[in-house]
Amino acid sequence: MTDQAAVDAFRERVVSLLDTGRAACRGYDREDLIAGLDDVNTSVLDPATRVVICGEFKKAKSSLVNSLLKTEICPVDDDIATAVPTSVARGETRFEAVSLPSGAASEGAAGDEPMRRELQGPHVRSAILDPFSLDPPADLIEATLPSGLPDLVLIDTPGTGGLGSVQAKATLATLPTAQSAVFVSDASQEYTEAELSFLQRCIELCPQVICVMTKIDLHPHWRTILQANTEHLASLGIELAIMPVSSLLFGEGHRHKLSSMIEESGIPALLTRLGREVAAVEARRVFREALEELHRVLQLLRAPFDAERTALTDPTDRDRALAELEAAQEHAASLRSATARWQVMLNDGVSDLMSDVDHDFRNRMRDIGAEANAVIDEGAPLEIWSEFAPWFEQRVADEILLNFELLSQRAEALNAEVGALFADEGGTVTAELGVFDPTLAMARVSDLDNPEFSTSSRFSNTIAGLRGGHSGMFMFQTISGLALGAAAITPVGAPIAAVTAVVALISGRSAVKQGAEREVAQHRTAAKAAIRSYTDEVTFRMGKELQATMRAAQRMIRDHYTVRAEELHTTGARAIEAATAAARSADPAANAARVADIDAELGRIGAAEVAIATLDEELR
Amino acid sequence: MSLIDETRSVLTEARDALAGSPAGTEIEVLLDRLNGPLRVAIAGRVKAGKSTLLNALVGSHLAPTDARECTRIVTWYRNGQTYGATALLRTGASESLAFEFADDEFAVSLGDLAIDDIHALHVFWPSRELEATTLIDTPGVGSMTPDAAARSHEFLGGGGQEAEADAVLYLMKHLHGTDLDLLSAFHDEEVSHPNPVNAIGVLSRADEVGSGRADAMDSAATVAARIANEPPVRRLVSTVVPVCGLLAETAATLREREYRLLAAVAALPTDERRIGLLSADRFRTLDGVPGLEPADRESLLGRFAMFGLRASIAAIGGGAAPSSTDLARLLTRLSGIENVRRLLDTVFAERGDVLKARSALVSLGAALDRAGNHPAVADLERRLEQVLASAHEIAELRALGTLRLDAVPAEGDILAEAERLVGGSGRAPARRLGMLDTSQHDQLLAEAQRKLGEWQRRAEHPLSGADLVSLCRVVIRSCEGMISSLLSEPASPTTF
Repeated sequence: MTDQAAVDAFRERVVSLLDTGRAACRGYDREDLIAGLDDVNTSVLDPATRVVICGEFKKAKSSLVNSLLKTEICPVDDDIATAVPTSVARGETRFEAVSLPSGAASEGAAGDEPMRRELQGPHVRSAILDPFSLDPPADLIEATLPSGLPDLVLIDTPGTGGLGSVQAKATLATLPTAQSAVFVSDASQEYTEAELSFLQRCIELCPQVICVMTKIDLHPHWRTILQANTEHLASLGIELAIMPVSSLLFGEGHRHKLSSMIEESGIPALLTRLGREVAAVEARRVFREALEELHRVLQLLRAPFDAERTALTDPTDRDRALAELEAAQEHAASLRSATARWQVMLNDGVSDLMSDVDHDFRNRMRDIGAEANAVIDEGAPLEIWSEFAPWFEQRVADEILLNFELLSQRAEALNAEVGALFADEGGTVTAELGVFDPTLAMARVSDLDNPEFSTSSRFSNTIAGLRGGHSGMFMFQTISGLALGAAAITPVGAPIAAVTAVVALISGRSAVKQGAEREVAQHRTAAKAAIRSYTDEVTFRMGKELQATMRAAQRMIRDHYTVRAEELHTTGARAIEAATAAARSADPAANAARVADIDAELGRIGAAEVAIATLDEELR
Repeated sequence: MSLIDETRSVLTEARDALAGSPAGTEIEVLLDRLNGPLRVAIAGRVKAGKSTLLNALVGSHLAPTDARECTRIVTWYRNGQTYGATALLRTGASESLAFEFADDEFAVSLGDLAIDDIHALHVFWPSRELEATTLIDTPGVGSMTPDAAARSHEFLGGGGQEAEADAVLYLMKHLHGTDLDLLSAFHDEEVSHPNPVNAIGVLSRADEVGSGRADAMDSAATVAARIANEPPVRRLVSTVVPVCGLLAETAATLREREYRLLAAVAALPTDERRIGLLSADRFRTLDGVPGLEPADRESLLGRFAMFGLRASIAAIGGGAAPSSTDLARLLTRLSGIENVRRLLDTVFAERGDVLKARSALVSLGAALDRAGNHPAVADLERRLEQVLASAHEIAELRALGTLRLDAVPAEGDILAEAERLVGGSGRAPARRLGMLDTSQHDQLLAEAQRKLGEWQRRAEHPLSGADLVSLCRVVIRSCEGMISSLLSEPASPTTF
């Protein structure tokens, strides 16, 4: 199953089998089992595998996305870079701007839904290049295009490494929700330190990473660079092949209808790899999940027939069989009750998980705060603030991500434990836990306030001006405030009369210098207050968000197994009913006819099971 | 007495008073430095094109370049009577090195020295370009060889040391976060904020900004102008200019054979030529050009890159470059290197003495601090304070820095005028007054007096804040200085 046609053919077989399963549920009056089949049916039809295109800015990421989609959806410019992540799926042409609820607006209303607006024509380009062209600003552009890649959602991200590191943070936050990342560098130079450490984070956060080197048309020595990069990866123990590509050659090849040039561009190879290794792998996983669910449903459908058949054909064993059924039904009933062992385990597990995750989070925040204070104590806050603020916010964001990773690991472990106790796999619950997206919560965290270094209101105009000038550069308005931080504090020391300050700083003895020391102490206090109030704010907001996420996980696990318990109970009831009715029947002819009927039904179920087994075999 | 003379005299006094102590030796070095050429460091991230730009400025292939990371040691390129190369070791000793000059390429052999033992290399080269300016090549920042990056950081004053360079050409591709870190490190402690008076930004590898298209350099100019106005950059460099260093170097050393080969490619039919120039690999396999051997192709790609090839072939094909001399001239102009030379000649060279004096005074202050309780120190410190307090040139530099911080609340055009008056666009009166270089002496004098009056009134205005008033004082002194120089030299409106 390596090409799209094969995947689609297989998908059709899975869907038709699922249809049979749903028809059977209806026929046997088990509508309660349909919902689960509907869910897997949806993901079989559209697995929507997310592929994040990431890398430093100005590495031709958007050109690459355009080539992959054979359209010009992502704006390409020599200067201005993509500022808003843009996701492109397959479908009717449609663009939507998504704005996450902002910290200030959703005070006290943490569960606000993101706001969506449809975009037309030229607004698409401006919204991608400048989030602030919309009010409230866009955090994500979602597009569907007829030329979108089958089963894949491509996400073009703002490049990392520009002024301030907000973009890197935003990109990292999207990675845990993606199945694959394409890491883009260009042929102008070998990997830098920053690129390699970003790549390592990608590998940690994302199951599958593909390295791509762009602009091989422009740089004569691209083979040397490719070799150097391969060596760098090998020295870090990373075994990834780097794919050289050129969007220019791809475009020109199409224009001149030169298949050799299209091939040379490396884009077809990348498309093949995305299809074979990313989409197909993910499709396989989704198909297997669907087959497992169908298999489970068929088991539940089969049980009453088995019981009835036993009662009809083997009167001697009837009583023993009935007793067994009763016992099973009692067990199912106990699973349904609030005091069931799995319920107790779930409740205990969740409170353990909550206190551990919360402790971990507070610990992290406390350590960062201490680390930041130490940095402030070492230097002059006025001078280092412009570098400090983004560094600090980046560290906080990293820690939040790490804490989130702990949370999802623990929740999955708990789910597995409860599942084992329930003697069930419960695969779908685990998959749904990943839906929590830390970016949503992060968006609610307000700015790192600028310390009140200055009491002079005369600077306010300058600051307002800077804010306007900077607005385009940051993706999350709520986590930005960085350049603002630098602007608000630097002017304070500057206006001191020129000559005296020079003298003071050189001679180191004058009164002005002592004044400066006092000033530095004041700045330190102000900076620490700002750090403190930022970590407090983060702790408060994220604490609330973590609680909500854990509760949601608990609800999801509980609902999942409650439904399973209901299903088991219904199945048991039907089986007992059928078996009891059969036991009362004394007409051998009717019994024989009924057995024939049952055998026919069981034959149908058996045929479906054989079909599942065949498909499953093919998947392996 | 000018600032540089005064600095020289205070340094001489300090040297004599502290002779024999370690501080005395330090000051001796400072004095030598003051009398030597201006030291301009070429800094930037790894692979920004620093060595290439250096070669372009000198006009010879002095600094080795490569597709991979190349410069690992801080290397000084100095004017010399003869060719030579010396390694300055970490131990303080120095050692002569063997070198070779073949095929227009200069190659130094380190012999049995390890890179880690070498503090810096000094290359001597008889050259007019190096007479007034010593150029210093530095390893790139953000390198995968962290030691090399650390050497750069240390050299530019990052490790709490005093900077060894007087001024810096900072090369960047698109502006990157680490660019600002490094630039901040270069700006010394004396001015507690980064100061754009001694730094020029260079948007290097400018042809690649526009992916080597025909209009790539125009596009790069737009990008450079935008970057120069980013507030964090404004605070660090006076301006940003786009340069394609490779093209400039190639233009300076263009060979006749190269011209003939390019002309042969230009003679191909349009479609074949266009496709052959689409990518490096296509150029490697381009058919139908007699005499274009594989080695030639590699050499052309290495020396011109795609943009240079496309531009040269278009120029030859279009008749704009009928000879190799014309092509060299055209490529030089296209490369933008002339802008860098002009800035070096105006911003740095004009300001050179002040910059050197400033570096020397800062270092003297630090040396005196280290000398501790030597009996002469207190007197010398008083002298130093006197020099600094009376040095209007330094006040002007500082005012420029302050203006770039956007720290003074006033209207933009007033601030732009202040920047000009304190010498932001050049130190000649005409430049300061924003008048034509050919302006009459009387006109200059009248304008200077008018500006003096305006700024005096501004300083006295009750609504002017303290920051504006202190800026006004500097501007007023600049105006007064201009007037007195114009009055004392009625014939020639020169710098003062």
